[in-house]
Amino acid sequence: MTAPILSISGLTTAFKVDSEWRDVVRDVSFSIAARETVAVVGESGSGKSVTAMSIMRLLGPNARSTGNIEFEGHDLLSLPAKEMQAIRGNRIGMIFQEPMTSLNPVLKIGDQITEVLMQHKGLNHTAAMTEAARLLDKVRIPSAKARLNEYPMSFSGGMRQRVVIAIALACEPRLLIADEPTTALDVTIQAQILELIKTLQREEGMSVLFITHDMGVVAEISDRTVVMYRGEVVETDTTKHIFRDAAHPYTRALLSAVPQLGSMIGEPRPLRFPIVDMATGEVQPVPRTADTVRMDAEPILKVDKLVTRFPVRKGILRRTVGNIHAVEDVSFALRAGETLSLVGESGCGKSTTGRSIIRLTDMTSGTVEIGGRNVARAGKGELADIRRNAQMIFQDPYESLNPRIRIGDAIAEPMIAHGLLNGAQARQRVGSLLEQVGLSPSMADRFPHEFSGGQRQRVCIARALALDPKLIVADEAVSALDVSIKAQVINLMLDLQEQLGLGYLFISHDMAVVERISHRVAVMYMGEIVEIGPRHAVFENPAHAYTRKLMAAVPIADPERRRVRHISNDEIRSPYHNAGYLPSEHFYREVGEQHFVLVDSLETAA
Amino acid sequence: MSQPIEKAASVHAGMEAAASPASSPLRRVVVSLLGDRLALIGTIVVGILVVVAVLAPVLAPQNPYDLAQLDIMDGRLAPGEQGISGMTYLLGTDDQGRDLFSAILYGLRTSILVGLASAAIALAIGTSIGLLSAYAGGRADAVLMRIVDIQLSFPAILIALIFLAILGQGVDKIIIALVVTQWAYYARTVRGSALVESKRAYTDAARSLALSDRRIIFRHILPNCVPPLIVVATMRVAYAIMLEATLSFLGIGLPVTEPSLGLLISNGFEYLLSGDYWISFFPGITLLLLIVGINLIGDALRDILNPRREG
Amino acid sequence: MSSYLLSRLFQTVVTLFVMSVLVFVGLYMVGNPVDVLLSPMATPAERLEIIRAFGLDRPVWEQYLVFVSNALQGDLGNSFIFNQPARHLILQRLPATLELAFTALAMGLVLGIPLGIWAGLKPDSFASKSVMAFSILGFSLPTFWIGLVMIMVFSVQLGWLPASGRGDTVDLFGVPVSFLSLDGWSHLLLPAFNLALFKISLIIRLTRAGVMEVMQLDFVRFARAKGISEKRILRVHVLKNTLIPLITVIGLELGSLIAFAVVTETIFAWPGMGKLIIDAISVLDRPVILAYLMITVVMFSVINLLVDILYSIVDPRVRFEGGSR
Repeated sequence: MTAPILSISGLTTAFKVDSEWRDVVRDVSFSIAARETVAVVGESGSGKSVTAMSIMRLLGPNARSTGNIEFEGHDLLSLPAKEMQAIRGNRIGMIFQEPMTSLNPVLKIGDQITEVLMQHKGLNHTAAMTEAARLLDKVRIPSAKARLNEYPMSFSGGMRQRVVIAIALACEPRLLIADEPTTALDVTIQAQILELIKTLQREEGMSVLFITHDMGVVAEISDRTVVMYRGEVVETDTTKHIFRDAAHPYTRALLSAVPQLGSMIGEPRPLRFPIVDMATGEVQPVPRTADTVRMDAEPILKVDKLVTRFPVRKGILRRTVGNIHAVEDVSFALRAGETLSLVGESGCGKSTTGRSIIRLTDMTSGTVEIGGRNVARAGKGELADIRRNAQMIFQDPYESLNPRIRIGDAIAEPMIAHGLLNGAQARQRVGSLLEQVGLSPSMADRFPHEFSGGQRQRVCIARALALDPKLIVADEAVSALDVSIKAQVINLMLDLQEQLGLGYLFISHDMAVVERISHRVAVMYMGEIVEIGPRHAVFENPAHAYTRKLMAAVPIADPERRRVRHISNDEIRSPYHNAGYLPSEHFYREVGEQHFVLVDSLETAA
Repeated sequence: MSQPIEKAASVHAGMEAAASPASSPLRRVVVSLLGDRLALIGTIVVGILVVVAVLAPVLAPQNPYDLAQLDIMDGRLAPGEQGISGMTYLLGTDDQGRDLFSAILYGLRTSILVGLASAAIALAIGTSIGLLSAYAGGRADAVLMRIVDIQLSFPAILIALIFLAILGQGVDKIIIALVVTQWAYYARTVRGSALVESKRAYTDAARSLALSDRRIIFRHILPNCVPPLIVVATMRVAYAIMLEATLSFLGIGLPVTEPSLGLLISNGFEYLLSGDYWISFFPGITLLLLIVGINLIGDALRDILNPRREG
Repeated sequence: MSSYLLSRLFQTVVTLFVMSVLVFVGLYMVGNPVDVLLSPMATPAERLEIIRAFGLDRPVWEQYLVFVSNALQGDLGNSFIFNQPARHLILQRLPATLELAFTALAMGLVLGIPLGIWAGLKPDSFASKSVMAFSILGFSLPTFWIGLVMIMVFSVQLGWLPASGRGDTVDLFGVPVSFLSLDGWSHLLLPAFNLALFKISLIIRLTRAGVMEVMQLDFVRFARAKGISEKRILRVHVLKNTLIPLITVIGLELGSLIAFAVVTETIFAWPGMGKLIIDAISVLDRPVILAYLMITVVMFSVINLLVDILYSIVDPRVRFEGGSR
């Protein structure tokens, strides 16, 4: 191995919390060789971002770092501020998670690129502008020169992240630190950005330090991997070795909780995640799921030609000039005990479909029947009855509980409000519901802020179960959770499906989770279902071009299966159309048993 | 598309497990309020002034409104001087021989009464309109908020001047004028936070649990709009007291028969140039203490109730 | 753009209409201006004549229509007291008020913004806390009372500055102004500062809050990661984002300064229109009150419009089609 570009030894970073110093990162050591990509992976609170920020000395006065960070012959921690500034953005480039906020909204893109060239390279403005155009070109932004005069708001998220990368690479740094650079992006855009970073790394011959929580991304991009847990490095090894034969129990636990796209081949039914003991690394066997789908009974949910559009109004008269066609002619049915997943990227209409079904959003046309009753035509009283049968779980567990209401009261509220139980009975039922979701009944009089994210999501599930629903619409219900917590909550949902025969409409952007949990899958794009069928059929024989594109973009948590990918640089299209636009009729072709694919012009376009 | 996000600020995440024992949001606010040194001072000052104002009839050596108790011969005595009747005037007297200390106590009473009453009424009206506007949405909301915007683009004192020009003087009249100048602030605040709250997932959850609109509004949305309302209300009470004093000073607020602090200051204005500073000075200091005290509390509340700090 | 201007114009007209009806009807119902106009000795015949002369015997809506049609021709009626055109009375005093308000605004900006930035950059320093303490005080000091104290200290005790009046004025394009002569400044300084004190505190607080918020934003962190100097981060990245929202505030505050000049003008005997309106209210000089309102409403609408236009020029995110704010 060549001499490392960056070597960290004994890095400890502490934050001042209530006038007390608390270690957030403890005794971290690792190094990065020339042209090497090192991933630092960990869950929230693992200290991975703080480590990156410590290298750049960007943490501010409430943090202090000790130890040694060696870069190009300097100890970064003891460098005078002025010299450190000359290294930042010049010898070390850095990019962050949120492309939407990383750029200054009131400065032109050109100015934001040239300032770094003028600062470090001493270029004059004209030379810097020429160079900036070249940089935009390099990160594959079309008509680069013209776009220098635009403001960030006219760029999409993926495009902004390209601009950010152009800025970070402007001075040809030896090292690029990428802090969750693709986390906020859709999966196809993520694939584009990962591919771009790989290509640029080759072209520039630089090293990359890649911070991420996503094992799939790690497997996809890194040569070596550093695993962090609660502020400490638990394991450092080549990526291949870590995935094949991790030494530390935590790494093993983490890896066992990561769903791998394509790992379900031959499995007839959804599969629980194995539980790995964090301390010993031993795998505890989990029972296989039972066959819960009630093929004999009528479907509990029937959606027929559902359309939901949002008018876009302009001018003083608030005239409708166009519509967002959020959901366009969507039909499917769901049986008791069955999980149907709606999967797609942001703006594809999957959440709106879920919300329209419960009538949290009013549908434009079509019918939705829950338990044989028409949702759209229901009056107030009947809607309440219908909603008792169909509950919803939301993405953000921090948002979906009222911060001012004790969780016991939150769970009891629907039962009492509907007059199903009196106070004492409700309290008892709250206790048993909490037990059912794996919490203790004694937690009932706590407030939401006293729970962790995973626990809050369990509370939300308990609340949803309070009215004995038959159908649960889970809108990205596990997306905001850390990977190990995610696995536990999914296992809980599978348990509940077995016990209560629940039907799940599982809305998610995460293909790997969907493959794990679903009986059937519907892929959505621009408001339409482009493909629907049994899980194994859709995943093993994707028929629609968009489905294939989506699957190709998903990073696979297995470095052995790293593919050469042909990623197109398309943007996600907007489902906006001018007023008066009439969508063409939808025809589906049956390509297998119960496996349908949309016949349309998109097949060639995508 | 939000996924586990690790922020430098989420240092506390790891310590979340060790969260404090069950504490109600209200208790947390009170504890942090009293923990802030400036807010504590503000609370004490306001507390004392309110108690003194309530007890004015007991504490005041003289009833400043009872002309029979006044002796014109005692007019414009300096602080600490003794009058003909043998009474010592702690803070001096005004031109009519009125004991300033007593007058300040009674004036304080009027000022606080006017400030609180106008704020309470404006709060009730503004909150109702704001909630209604947020609930109705669409055109009604647009029109109501346009009115609020237009009204807020006019300075409060101008609106108060118009209404007092029409209504004339009196405690009830000035309360009406102050309500008119203030309701829009509450309406905008409530409407804004109600819209934010109604878009949050817990409201969606309540709706999907088929809870009634009334229950969702009053049990879920409104309580979460209270923190910003409290902050606005504190600042508005202080402002209302100040505005009332200003209007009374200009001679179009309270009548001479019910001297508020503003009127006392106004009375002393003409004697100021001849060096009899105390007639204006002491009521002014009292007014200042009251307003500073309330603003200190409001400032601390703003920090404590900041949603970004709650969690 | 033109549809935006049209809607703003429409809004101004509606506001003018509502305000004028409110005040017209309101004033019609209270008090009888005849009592003000006549000496108590007047005979009933004289009384009737006056009533007829001013058109006070006609129904309220008719009086209102007369008022509107005259107003559209620029005639806002004659003052009952001065027996002069109300418009003339007000326009005569307007420059003095505007000069006071603009001077106060300038003081507010020149002192408030730097202090606010300073306090926002180092929120935990002693100096910053002192600035905040000052601003709470400035926020809480009743303008009229601090005006009295200022007179007491600077005019009565120290004798540095005059306590009242406007002093010498110099004509600038036919408009008398104080700020071109030393004597004018000596008269202007105290009242302008008195009026500005509240705004200085307000601007300090707003600027500080803005700076503190912007400093937390991702693009500032990214700018640091780019190795941009702190000076440039502050000057370009932070200031631009902090000051743009301040523009709207400044528009509102200018209006508020013009209105609050009423108080300062009363204390310092500044010959502006504020003093005029207070006197008009106490004697129910209806044409003057109405004229004052009409002129201020138009003035505020113009200020708001200018601010909106300025805002949309400076902030690339604002588009007229999206409606303002």
